[in-house]
Amino acid sequence: MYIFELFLVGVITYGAFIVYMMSVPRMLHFAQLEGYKEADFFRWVCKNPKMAFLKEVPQAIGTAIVYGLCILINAKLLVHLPETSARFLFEVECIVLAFVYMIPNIVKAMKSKKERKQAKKPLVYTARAKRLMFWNAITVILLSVMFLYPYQGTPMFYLLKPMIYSLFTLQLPVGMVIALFLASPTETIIKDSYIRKAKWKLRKKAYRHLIKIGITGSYGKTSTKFILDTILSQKYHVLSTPESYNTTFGNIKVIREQLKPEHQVFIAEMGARYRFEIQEICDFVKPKIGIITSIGPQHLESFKKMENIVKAKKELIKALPHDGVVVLPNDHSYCSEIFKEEKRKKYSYALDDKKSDVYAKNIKLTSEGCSFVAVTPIGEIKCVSKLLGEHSVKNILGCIAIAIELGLTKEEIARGVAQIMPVKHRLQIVNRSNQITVIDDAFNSNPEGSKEALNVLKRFEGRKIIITPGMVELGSSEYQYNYEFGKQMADTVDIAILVGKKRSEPIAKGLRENEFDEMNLYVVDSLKSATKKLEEISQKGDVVLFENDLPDNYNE
Amino acid sequence: MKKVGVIYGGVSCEHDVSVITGLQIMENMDRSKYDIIPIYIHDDGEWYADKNLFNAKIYPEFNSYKDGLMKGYIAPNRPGIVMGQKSLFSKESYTKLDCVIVALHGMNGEDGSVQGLLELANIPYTSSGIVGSSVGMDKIMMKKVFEANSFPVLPYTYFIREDWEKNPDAVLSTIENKLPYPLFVKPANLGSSIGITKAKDRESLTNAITIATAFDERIVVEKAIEDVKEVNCAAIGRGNQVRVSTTEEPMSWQEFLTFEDKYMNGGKGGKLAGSKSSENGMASMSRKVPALLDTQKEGYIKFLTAEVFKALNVKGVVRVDFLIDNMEDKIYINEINTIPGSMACYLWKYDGYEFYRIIDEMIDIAEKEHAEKNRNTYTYHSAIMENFGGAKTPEE
Repeated sequence: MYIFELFLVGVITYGAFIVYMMSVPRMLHFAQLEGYKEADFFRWVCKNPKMAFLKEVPQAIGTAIVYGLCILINAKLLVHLPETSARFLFEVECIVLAFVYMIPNIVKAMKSKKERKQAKKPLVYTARAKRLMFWNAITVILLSVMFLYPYQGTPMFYLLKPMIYSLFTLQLPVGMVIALFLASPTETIIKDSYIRKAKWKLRKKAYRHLIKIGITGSYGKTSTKFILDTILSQKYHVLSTPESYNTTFGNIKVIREQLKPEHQVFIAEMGARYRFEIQEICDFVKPKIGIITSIGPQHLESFKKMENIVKAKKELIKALPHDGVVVLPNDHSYCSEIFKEEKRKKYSYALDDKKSDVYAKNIKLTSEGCSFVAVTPIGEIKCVSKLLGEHSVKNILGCIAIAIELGLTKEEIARGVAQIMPVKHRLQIVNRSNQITVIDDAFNSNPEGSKEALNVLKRFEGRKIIITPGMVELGSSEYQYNYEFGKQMADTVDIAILVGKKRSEPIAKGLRENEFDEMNLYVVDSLKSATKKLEEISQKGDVVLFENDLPDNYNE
Repeated sequence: MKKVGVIYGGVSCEHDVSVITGLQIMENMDRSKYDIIPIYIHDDGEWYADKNLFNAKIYPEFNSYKDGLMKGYIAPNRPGIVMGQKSLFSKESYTKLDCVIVALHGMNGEDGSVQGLLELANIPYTSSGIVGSSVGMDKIMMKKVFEANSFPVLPYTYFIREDWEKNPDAVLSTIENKLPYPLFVKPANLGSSIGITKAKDRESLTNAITIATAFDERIVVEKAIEDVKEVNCAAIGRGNQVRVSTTEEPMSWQEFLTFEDKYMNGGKGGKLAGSKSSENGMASMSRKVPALLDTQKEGYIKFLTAEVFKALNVKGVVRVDFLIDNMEDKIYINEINTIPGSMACYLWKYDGYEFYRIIDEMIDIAEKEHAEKNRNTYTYHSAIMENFGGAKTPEE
């Protein structure tokens, strides 16, 4: 072939490859948001086909048609035409293909890059993300080699190659899943080396006396962690995992970068969506004290059954040494059973169950906070806190048990409790004024928490408004839980602004079927629209609850 | 070009708001006049001075970026910033600063601590001096100065933690005898709403005090107005030269939006363009500018703002917050903010002052003050030392 044709073919083929790679970051962003888990990502693709690849359909079909036509034309005409015309035809086809395939894709890729920058959680090119880009490149090359092998040597080969790439933009999600699979062996090796480094640091002499506490639970982990940090800080120098870092990598990062010899207590929050994840964290943290805050139907989609959730949480208990300490709530359910079977040193806590080691009496809950008397093995402690809701009291009681185990006095515990500041985005009052009071509960996303949030809202005076997209990741029961949420809302709120028509449909149903006035029900498509609506309708004295703010991969 | 350092961040509960203020100032400074040096104090107390600090995106995940950033600090013995080296083989570098813009809020920034350092280093700085800053921060001192000047303050009382721990009932009775419910209980020295609780009866008062005493030793208790209207007004100047801004009714309920939303509202954040780019951040929260007031009240508030400015010996841009009791139609001064969020740029904008001009003015004021200060002598060789010892020092 002549140089010019070669050049054109090169442009289309490699250009197509580059354009494909430019389109990958969009999928990469979603993969990152789903924690790089193949199953989670695949599930996301199935639930969000529009976002995943239907946007590509028109263009992909167009490209395929053009390619198809080219192939057809070539098959029929090339043999009949004189060489110069054949070559000219070929050149025209290449240039048309470049326009039909590459230019729109480049434009799309640049647009999505802008969108990604503005997203709530933007794409971060971590080392792992970069590796995944590499695996995507490998995937597309492998797949195209597989499809094209039979045509090797024929002129069809040069046209088919870019066609495969173009169709692959349609299959970007599938390509990503394959890339995730291909990446797992090396990712496991990398993870193991990180775990080894964390273990090695903790084994050093400087950390021999470090008191390590593990917190897990279906909900209440992060709140409990912050409460525990505040209380124990009255006596110890405490390091806890920041924000809601609760994965293997999160804990390793904190241990390697923030843990210093002057720390006396390390609180590790441990989260899980699958079994053996908590076990993995315990493997290097090696906690001495463990607390499970609750066991409930959180992340049922990945766990599949409650049984697995229970087994996963128990991994923390199993990991404790023979002289370890177990702290569990008396929930008359899973936790109580684990408590019964436990033979090591243990504490139980409950809101007002007198049979527990730590419980509360004279509980008062107001819109300013809570007050109660904690009844404990070392005596009664009068407690006051700005935290809202019954669950906060429960979490505080669990932390008091640990504080007692670590030798804090009643005064230290009381002062610690008084100092507790609300956690960002968890039933946090962000503005209390004469105009509007705003309760930010954006990080809560489970049925218990939502119920509690509505109970808290009830205690405020003034018109009550809720803004929520509903709850997710509850597996097959998601519809039912959201319906119940709507039902409870009907009793509590005056105005409901629901975000996302499809997802909030069960909530709307729950509201309507419980005689909620249609006039006070608004359904919008994004958080921005919700706040706009709020600006329109809010009056002085209103109380607004923002319940569960979903990340961008849940936009409709 | 003047070398101007902007200090923001800080070890306080208002660290995040300070980051926004700092970034906004740097974005709106006139790049043709000033060579900007960002000086960021992380919430663990570490100081950083690095060009990468202009990028707003690093702050939410600062721990991931900090190892790649150059550290810097201001020493009390020279008027500039010392920047640490990234490699083992280069020395620390010293850069003289012509001025420092203090954009810290709350403790360890607005309370005179940083101002003290800057005074020792003898660098011109934009915020109020040590006296103005510390009095403006301590609610008890502030109220006493207001009272001494016959400014209207809400009825209040105060006590110290030790007295509460010794005899809580006495403290409660004193409060109840002096003030009617409902009440606000506030730690004297912390900013914003940390540790502040409303109390409507003896029981909730006890709880509120328990919380406040966990945060501070000095506690203020003041009457809470039932039907209240909040009005703020800013002022800029030095000594007796003050200019007052328009008023506002703050509606800060949108504060809870994430950092990115807050700063990047409208999607234009992150890049530093020349003059009047995004004044988002605090400006975008729907507030009423100017406040809906009758002319008489508005005039009185503006007048009081100027008087407060002069009485407290502050400088630069401040914001005075007022409370209006709608039922009794009375105006009270709530507090003064010696370093207000976003330097109240949205208030100045209403009167036609663009942010970059306000910043120019702040720097100008800082330099004037510095020049005046250096006119005074601070060291004086007294004769005391000369008569110590016996023999004179030999000349050879």
